[in-house]
Formats: sequence, structure tokens, C-alpha cells
Amino acid sequence: MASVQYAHPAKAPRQGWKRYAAFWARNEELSLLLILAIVVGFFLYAEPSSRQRKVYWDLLWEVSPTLIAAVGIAMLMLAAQFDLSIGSMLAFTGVATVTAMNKTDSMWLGILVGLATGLLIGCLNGFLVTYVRMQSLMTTLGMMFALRGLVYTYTNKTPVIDENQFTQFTRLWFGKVGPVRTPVILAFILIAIAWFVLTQTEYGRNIYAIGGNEQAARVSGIPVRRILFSLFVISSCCAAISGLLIAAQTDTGYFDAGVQGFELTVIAAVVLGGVSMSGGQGNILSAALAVLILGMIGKGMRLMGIHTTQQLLVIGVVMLAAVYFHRVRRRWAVRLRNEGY
Amino acid sequence: MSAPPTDTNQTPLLEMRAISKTFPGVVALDSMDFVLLPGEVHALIGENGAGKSTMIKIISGLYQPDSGEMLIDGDPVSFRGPADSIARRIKVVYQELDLVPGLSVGENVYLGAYPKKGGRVDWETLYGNTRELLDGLGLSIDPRTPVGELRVAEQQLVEIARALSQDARIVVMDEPTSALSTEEVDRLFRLIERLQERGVGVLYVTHKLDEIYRIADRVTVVRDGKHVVTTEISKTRPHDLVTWMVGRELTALFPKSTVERGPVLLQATDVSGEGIEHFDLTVHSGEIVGLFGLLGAGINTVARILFGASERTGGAIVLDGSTIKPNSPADAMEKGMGLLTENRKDDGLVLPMSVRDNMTLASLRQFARLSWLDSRNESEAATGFVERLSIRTPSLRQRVQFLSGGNQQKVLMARWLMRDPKILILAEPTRGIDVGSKAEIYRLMDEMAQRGLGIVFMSTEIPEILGIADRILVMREGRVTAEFDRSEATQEKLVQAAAVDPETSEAA
Ligand SMILES: Nc1ncnc2c1ncn2[C@@H]1O[C@H](COP(=O)(O)OP(=O)(O)OP(=O)(O)O)[C@@H](O)[C@H]1O
Ligand SMILES: [Mg+2]
Repeated sequence: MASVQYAHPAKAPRQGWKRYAAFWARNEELSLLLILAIVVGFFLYAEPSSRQRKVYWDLLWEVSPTLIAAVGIAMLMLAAQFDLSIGSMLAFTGVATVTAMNKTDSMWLGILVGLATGLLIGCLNGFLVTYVRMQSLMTTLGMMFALRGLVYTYTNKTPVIDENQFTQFTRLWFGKVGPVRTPVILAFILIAIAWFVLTQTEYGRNIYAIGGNEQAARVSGIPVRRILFSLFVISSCCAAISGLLIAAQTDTGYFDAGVQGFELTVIAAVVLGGVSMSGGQGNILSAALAVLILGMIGKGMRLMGIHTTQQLLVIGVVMLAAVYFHRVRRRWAVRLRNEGY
Repeated sequence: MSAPPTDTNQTPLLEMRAISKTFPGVVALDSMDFVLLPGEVHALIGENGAGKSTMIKIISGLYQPDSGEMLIDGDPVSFRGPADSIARRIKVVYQELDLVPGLSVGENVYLGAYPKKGGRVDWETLYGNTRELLDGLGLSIDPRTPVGELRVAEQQLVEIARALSQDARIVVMDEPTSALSTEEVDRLFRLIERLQERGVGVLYVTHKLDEIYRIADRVTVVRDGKHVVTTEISKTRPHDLVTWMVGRELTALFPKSTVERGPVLLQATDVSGEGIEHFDLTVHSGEIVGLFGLLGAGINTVARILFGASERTGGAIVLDGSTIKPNSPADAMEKGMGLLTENRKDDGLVLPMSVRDNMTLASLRQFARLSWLDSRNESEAATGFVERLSIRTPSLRQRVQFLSGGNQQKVLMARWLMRDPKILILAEPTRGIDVGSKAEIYRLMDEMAQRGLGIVFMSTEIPEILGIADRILVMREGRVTAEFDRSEATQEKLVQAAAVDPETSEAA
């Protein structure tokens, strides 16, 4: 990129370090990888128990529901929309799934119902935002409260236990393919699909266009509403899959699943991953990397035996630092490109 | 116009010496020299991407030069940001509007410098002064209107008002008239003369040569970021200016060939919508229909209604035998219509996207097999248009945000040409485009007409309408008031038919 087409006599000599800096500043994934390496390096140094391979397999395993939800949210946010209802979706899906399994004595029907909740709520969100033209932030916030309330009312705040004790169902979480846990595989498949869709397809290009300038997209004949609608469905369905996985963990539909700001964690990760809050910029791989970074920090602290309350504090501070780093990086990217690097 | 400053020994207000500025892959300014004297209007001209806006952004402190020296009143300065430039009483009207849409006109005019009384904003003075400024520009808009509700041209005038509101010594205007009507231009020029009398130096960027002859004292031509010539305007002919700008002799500006009029392609009957009533339009294959009107006549609304981008409340539109659904750009496109919108920032460009992706945005289907994009094909098509329209960009992957204004416009032009439509509606397609590229765009239009396309061409510039349209409709207050054939249309007739009230309108 540093090649200049014309000879340029009055130009100061290019400093080497600036070239590297420009390279890193421009590559979202690289800078995130760097952060991940720093975080991992820190824990390797500070905490001996983190020096086992298993820790990292477990990390992937633990963050897989977040990763999956992040896929949906990232796609939605690329189109400049939000979905805050995904945390409540986890509980809603879990409770609906286990209840259906108990009522029908069929695991498959239960799973089907769980996925259907994603479809249903996604359609509802999508309909309200794109056809009734309600604002997505407020609409999904309302949905977040409504769903949680619904779950509380229905369960009376008691976990719904799988009466049939389907071991098949728990395999959803505990199963393995080779050395890799099923949810991890699922997460990576979804990320791969999202990457493909976003970078290689017309649909993906349209998502970026809508996020970048919705009016322009509309005037270019892109079916904006239909695409936005579908994105809400995708986001909800991803959350429903996460909800299923979480329910499979304990073989229970838990009313408080995701209540500790799951949606905000996902959004934070996606934004850390460089997806612009105003849409149109970012990519799925960086978003996934950011999820891993946040997951690693949490996991490392647990290994070090840091108390949960303090963990919150550290995560908060780290997040602020990361956002700051991000700003600085962006500024450098612009500054260096203006300087011609 | 007014007496050019004869005393060239006076200290220049602004002097640039060997200023260079490079962007990745682009040398925007290459050892540029420039001198602005007190009380002169100095025009700066050059092709799209020649580096004019970059130079202005250096003056305004938005960019820092890589090398070279800048002097204000003989003192070397180095601006770290716009605040430094403002402190030296430099006011800039940027090419791309930068107003806050949610704030009122008055608030925008005084943004960052609200008049205060006892620590509180003095709204009375603010709106009173704004009112006066607007009156000076002949604008009857209420200073309390949110800027977002104004038309592009009005926004541009507000921007100018803002530059005039403070007591500047150097006023820089980057294509300020690109969206203005002739009358508004006249008023602007009167204001510029007033500034000039006060000894203010005005740097004026434009692509309209006639304007230069009306107000400029001197002119500087840039090409490829280099200073080509600075001369007194009275000593040059337009032809020389063009040659300096383009670096070669330019042949016919309006390459108009006679095309056999084909069957009716587009038939709009009794169309109505916001501010538009009983609008009828027939476009034949191979025909270029010009639509002319002053600001507020509704020509741009008509464009949007035809395409479905603004609401159509009545009437029918038939394209090549099939009826077009109202309010659905997708349907209009499906049936073969394309629209180049008036305001490229609002509903044209997707700024964070690349040049290529912006070009192919409306024709992705063409490059997709089962939605899977063939990006090689896409790039090839885009390269073709970059060459055909001579778009200046370091690569197809460049974000369109970083292109010069005129080149952005060409990217949008390419977006629609790529679709190969049957009917193309072009709203101000040459706004902000340099002479050479204008000729190229007219040539493209002519070529498209020869291939049987029907073109609706909307413009507020009479010469180009006269030069390229086969038939001209004149609009006034949302209605068509006159129709002329190419052979009978003249500047006077168009102006007369477009004037709001022929009886009382002041003949300027
Ligand atoms: N921020 C930027 N990053 C990269 N390239 C840039 C940037 N700003 C300008 N350029 C490039 O520098 C060159 C000069 O641009 P500039 O905007 O100064 O042209 P201009 O003379 O104002 O053209 P126009 O008549 O189209 O407005 C162009 O090739 C443009 O693409
Ligand atoms: Mg410019």
C-alpha cells in the first residue's frame, strides 16, 4: 500500500517502525490476535495452572454459546441494528425446550420447539422493526423484559428439569467429535458460514451496504426490509441455539439463563472486534477473536482464583482499556495513512 | 469585476510554497505554489482529483502537508487543526456539506461561536443575525428550521452564510455554487464583492468557467497536484484554461448525434406526490428528455417519485409495457429504470465501501451465481468503468470516502451504467464534475441514446440542457409549464417559463 505512483523529491525518508505500525493499525484481526497473545502470555506467566492444553480446549468450549450468539449479533450490527433480547432468549429457549420435552416425551420435538422460539421471536422483532418501523434498540429492549417476565411467570422462578433425563440431549453440550466438543464445532461452522455469507455473497454485500448507507441501499434496489427482517431472525436463531446448548449443560431449562448481561457482553465483544456501532464496517473473524479475548480474561482470572466480584471489576477495566486501545489504533491508522504509509 | 489588485508588492494574505501531500498511492499535491492577495478573488481550477480540495484542507488545518511552507501575512504557520486556522481568521466552505442536520439553521450558522449574554446563549441575537445573513443571500427560510429539512441548495447557502457570519480575512469556497440556481449565484457574487471591498481574500474553487470570468481577478490552474499557471483572468480565454486543466486540446463539449426516435419507453400520466401535481412525461427510446426548473420547482422530487424513492400518491407509470408499482425502487429497477440521485452523500454513496463495491451495488445479481459473488468478474467490470470514465483512484479497493468529489460522482454514474437500464433518470449528473469529464458524460449519454436508451436528464444548468436534450420540459412549482423541442429552445425561453412569476420577477 505504501507504493507511490509518482516520483516525489520533497519527501522525508520513511521510518521503518511507522511502516510496521501502519500495518498493524490497519489490520483488525492482527491487532486482536496481538491482544489475545498478550492476554494468554500474561496468564501463562502469572498462573502455572494455565500451562495446560486442556485449559484452552475448555475455553473454546465455554465461550461457544457466546460465539454463536455473536455471529448473529455481528451480522445484525453490520446492518446498523441491535438485538438486546438475546439474553432473555437463552432462558426462553431453554425453558420452552425442556417443557416441550417433558410434555411430549420426545427430545427431538423439544429441540424443534427450542429452535422455533428463535424463529418466532426473530420474526416478531423483525416485523416490529422493519414493518412497523419501531426502533430496534427499544424494541428489542422491550422484548428482553417481556421474555424474561414471561419465563419468570411461567416457571415461577423454578428451574424446569428434564423429567426423561435424555442423555442424548446433554450430548449436545458434552459430545465430542475427535478431541473437539460439539458446541465448539457448531460455533466454528456458524462462524465459517457467516464469514462466507458476509464476504462472498450478494446477501452479505447488501448487509454492508445497508449498514453503510441505508438510503443508498434502498435506492439501489436492495430489498432493505426483507434483509433486515432476516437478520433479526438469524440473530434470534443463533441465540436460540446458544440457549439449547446452555440448557443441555445441566439438562434443565433455567429461568435466569443469560440474566447477567449476556446481550451486553456479546455486543461489547462484537464492537471490540471492530464492528462499527453505526454499521457497515467490521468483520466476523475479528468479532470472534474479541469473544475469545474476553473469554480468556474471565477464564484466566478464575484459574488464578480471583473472586467473581473482582472479576467483574477487572473485566470492566480491561474492556475500557481495549476500547481505548481501539480508538488509538484507529487514529493511528488514519494518521499514518494520511502521512502516506 | 472590481479592480484587480495592482500592487503585487503587498504582503500576500496567504502563501503556499512547494506544498506536497501524499495519500496512499496518490500524490494529491506535488510541490504546489499559491499566493492569495488581499482583496482579490482568486479562482482555483483543475480536473477532478487534481488536488483542489486537498489544498483547501491544508489551508483549513484539516490536513498537514508532508513538506513545504505556508505563510499567513508573511509569517510561517503550521496548523495542527482547524482551530488554528480559524484563529487566523480563515473561513472555509467545504465541498461536502458539513452541517448538523438536527440543529436549526441559526444554530448551524453560529455553531461553536454562539453569541452569549450573561453566560447563556443569546437566541434573539443569534436568530436575528442569521435572519440578516439569510436576507443578504436572498433566502426566505426561517432560521429556526432544522437544517435537515432543507434542500441541498439551501443547505449550501446556509453553509455560505456560516462562513460569512464571522469576521474573516480569508474566505475559501470549494465549489459553493454546485447546487445553486442562477439567482442565488448572483446574490452570492454580490456578497463576494462586498467581502472583496473589505479587503478579504477569496479563494474560489469551481468547475464553472463562466463564473470565473464573472468574479475572479486571477486564476490558478492545478493539474495532478502541480501548479500549472497563475494569471490574470482578463488575459486568458476559456479555451486556454481548459487546455491547461486537461493538458490537451478538448474537442466538442456536446457530442450530440441525431438519433431516430423509437417507440415509447416510459409513460407517466397524471403523477402526483409531495408538491407535484398532474405530472405527465413521455420518453421514447433513443430520446434524451431534459427537465429544467429553478430550485423548488420539484424536478428532483419528480425524479424520486418516478423511481419510487419518494411517495407517489396518484397516477400511473408504465415502462416498456409494464406498470411500475409506486414506492418501490426495487420494482422500478426490475423493470429497467435507473436513478442517479441528486445528493450523492445522502442516498448515493456507501462511504465505508470500496470503489468497486459501490459500483456494483445495484447490479450484484449480475455477478452472483446463486448469490455467490464472482469477485473477479466484478473487478473486471469495475475496472472497465474506471477506465471509461477516467476515475481517479489508487485502486478498486479504495474506500469511496477518500475519492475526490467529482470522482465519487463518476462512481455513482458507473453504478447505473453497469445495470444497462432501459430508462435512466439522471438528476444533476455533472454536478461537481470537471469539463473534460463532463464532455465524457455527455458523450456517454449520447451513446446510450444511440443504443436505444431513454434518458430523463434533470439539470439546473441551462447550457447543458440545451446542449444535450432532444426535448425540454420546464417545471415550475410542481407542474410542467412549458415544453420545447431542441430546435426551438433558447436560454430566454427556458428562463421565462421557469420563473416563478413572470410579471414581477426581477430581470437581473
Ligand atoms: N483522505 C484521503 N485519502 C486518500 N486519498 C485522498 C484523500 N483525500 C483526497 N485523496 C485523493 O487525492 C486526490 C486529490 O483529491 P482532491 O479532493 O483534492 O481533488 P479535487 O481537485 O478537489 O477534485 P474534485 O474536483 O473532484 O473535487 C484524489 O486522487 C483523491 O482521491
Ligand atoms: Mg474537490
